[in-house]
Amino acid sequence: MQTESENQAVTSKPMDSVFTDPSFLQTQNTPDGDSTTREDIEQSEDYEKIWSQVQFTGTGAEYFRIWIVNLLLSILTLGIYSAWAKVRRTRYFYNHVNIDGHNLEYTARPWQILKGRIIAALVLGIIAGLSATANPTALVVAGVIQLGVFLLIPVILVLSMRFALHNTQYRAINFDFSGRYKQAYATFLFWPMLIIPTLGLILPFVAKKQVEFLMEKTLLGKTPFEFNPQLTSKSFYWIYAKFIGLILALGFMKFIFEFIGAFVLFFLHKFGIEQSQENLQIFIVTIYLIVLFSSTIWLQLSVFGLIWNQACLDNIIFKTTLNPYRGLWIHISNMILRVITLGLAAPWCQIRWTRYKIESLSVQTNKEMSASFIAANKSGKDGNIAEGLDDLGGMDLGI
Amino acid sequence: MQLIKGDYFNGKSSASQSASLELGDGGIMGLILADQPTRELSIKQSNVMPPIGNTAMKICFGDGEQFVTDEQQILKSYMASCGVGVVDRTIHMLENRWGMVIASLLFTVVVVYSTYIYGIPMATRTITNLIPTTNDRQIGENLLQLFDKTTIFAETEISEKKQQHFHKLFNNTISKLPQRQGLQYQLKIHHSDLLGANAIAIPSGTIIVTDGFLRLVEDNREFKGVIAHEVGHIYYRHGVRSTIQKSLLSFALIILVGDTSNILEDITQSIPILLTQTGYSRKFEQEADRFALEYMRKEQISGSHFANILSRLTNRNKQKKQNESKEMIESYLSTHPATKERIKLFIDVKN
Repeated sequence: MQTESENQAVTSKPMDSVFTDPSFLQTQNTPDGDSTTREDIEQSEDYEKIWSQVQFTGTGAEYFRIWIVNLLLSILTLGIYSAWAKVRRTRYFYNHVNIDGHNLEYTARPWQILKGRIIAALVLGIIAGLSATANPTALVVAGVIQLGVFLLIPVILVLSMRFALHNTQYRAINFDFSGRYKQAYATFLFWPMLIIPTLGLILPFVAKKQVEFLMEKTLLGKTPFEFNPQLTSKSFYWIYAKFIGLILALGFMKFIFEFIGAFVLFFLHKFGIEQSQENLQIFIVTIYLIVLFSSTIWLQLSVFGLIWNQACLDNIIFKTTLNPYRGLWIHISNMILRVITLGLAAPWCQIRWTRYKIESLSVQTNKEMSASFIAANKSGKDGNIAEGLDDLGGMDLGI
Repeated sequence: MQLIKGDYFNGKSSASQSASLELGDGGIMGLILADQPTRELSIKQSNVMPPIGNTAMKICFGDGEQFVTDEQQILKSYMASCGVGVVDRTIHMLENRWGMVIASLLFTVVVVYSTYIYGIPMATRTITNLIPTTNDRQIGENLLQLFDKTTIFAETEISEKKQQHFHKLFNNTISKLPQRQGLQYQLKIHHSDLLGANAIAIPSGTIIVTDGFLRLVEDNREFKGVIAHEVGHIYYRHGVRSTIQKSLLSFALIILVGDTSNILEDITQSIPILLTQTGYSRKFEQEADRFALEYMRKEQISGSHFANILSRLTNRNKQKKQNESKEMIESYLSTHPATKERIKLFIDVKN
């Protein structure tokens, strides 16, 4: 049996070494015992080890054409086509993700998405309409509806996950989501409520719980994703510590920017150029927003790295070479590109980011598996109908 | 008779099997597994996933079974000969022609631009005209009730005599201004720490002026100008219009950019939404300014009076702002057109 401390030894190694040194995992000693670890699978002699990089074959020019046709038809149909557009866009991205010679498929029907959007629009419309009257009773009703929606977030989350995964296919096998409402309420409502009383100290722990819930309840056919080694709270606390450090560092830079701004203003004033205070403020606010978003993106990408360097599916191992800083740079430069081109570069930006993210992933397969990636059965519908709200589940609630 | 090669999946396991499909007449296809013809499929009864990009095409049939092939072109022309998937193939064709794409792009840009400039304001006006002014009155009364429950406004500290003076001036002003059926212009004077020097138009016809504002007034004509501006907001029903306009704008933007799945994209896209909304509020301010100008021209009041009080108000608010650095964002998203521009408008008219 692998002990807990050994488990931690693996994860507490700096992330970077995992990114840069693929042989790192292979140099670990395999402890004796019956539990299969990542290293066992990798070193087992039954398998001929093949790391195959996940390919993304979409191109900006091709996606631009799909994007603009989606836009045009959505405008012409006053938004009704947007549901079809979503299917086409998602299918474009899924179909171009190539894992071990086969691509992903998205099988959602536009009608289901349209249904979800109409309901969402109605709810939003009712809230907006009630608020607009400024009638005290109507405001209370609007508040109650908003609270109701808030309390339903875990349910909506489960339904959306189920919808999204159920409509994702690989080699004619559907993904699935087995998370239950009760667990969703615990991870997405109960635990987060404790964040403020504990002054945010349990935030990384809650984040870990949420990641585990979303990943370990995801199935391909009947096979669930697992973490091997298990995710540790320690690694999450470490990432969040770095996140706070990043915010502080960038926040400090805000002062520097203000200082520079004031300096520039002073000089312009000296040369008789009156620059309005407002322009300076716009500049500073923009910098400030960028700081905040950058740190958040960095956080998300670091968690992505954590997840995909420890995720397993049966005995298939994933790894990622994603570098959060490089990913952050792609996001920031994409944002600048979008602004400069008034949004026209959006398709290229999306493709560029997706390519980086997808191609950072590799799966370890072997000869047997490339013939039969996962011998899982197609999940039948009977296992799923147990829960009450399931008829609502046949639509996309847009998370 | 054509033969296309591909992979067969049984939908139960992920194992693939090489297979080929014989494309026969009348949409009847023969599935060949391990060199053995196994069964016949009808293209009309199977579900062909719409072609996208240059990716493999999938034919779904039976209980989750699939035939996947890279020979997109052959399969597409076969579908055409059988008259299947007309819409899917048309969309795919649109997406593959640069000429069409450029035409779509131009069309989209023109539609988006003209919707923003003309379409939404025009639709707003039409819808507003359909809504009776009793609605404005109701909204206004509700708002006043809400104010009563908060501490935004307090009892005025202006002397009784001065109050009467301003009420008289107010009545004199509104008697010269066009009326809107169902709305009655009224003046209320309140003290407000939060709003400082300010004048606010409530959709029902009530105009609230703060003590701070009245203390800044140096000339009766300045007061009249500001009142005319606020009446302009009520007369043109800007309260109701901005609500409708915001809803229409959000709707249009959802159509335009509603297909995002990334937080950062949402953020980059919400910035233009904020900017476009402030753009519309600027239009409202300009409309109210012109309304005030029209009145002042008729009354032979020089535009400079309005310009004076405006610049005094801005200076005052600027002083206040410098004390509170947190108001940075507020000024960034300021809904009033740059005051310099507005002051210029009134001075130009005078000359």
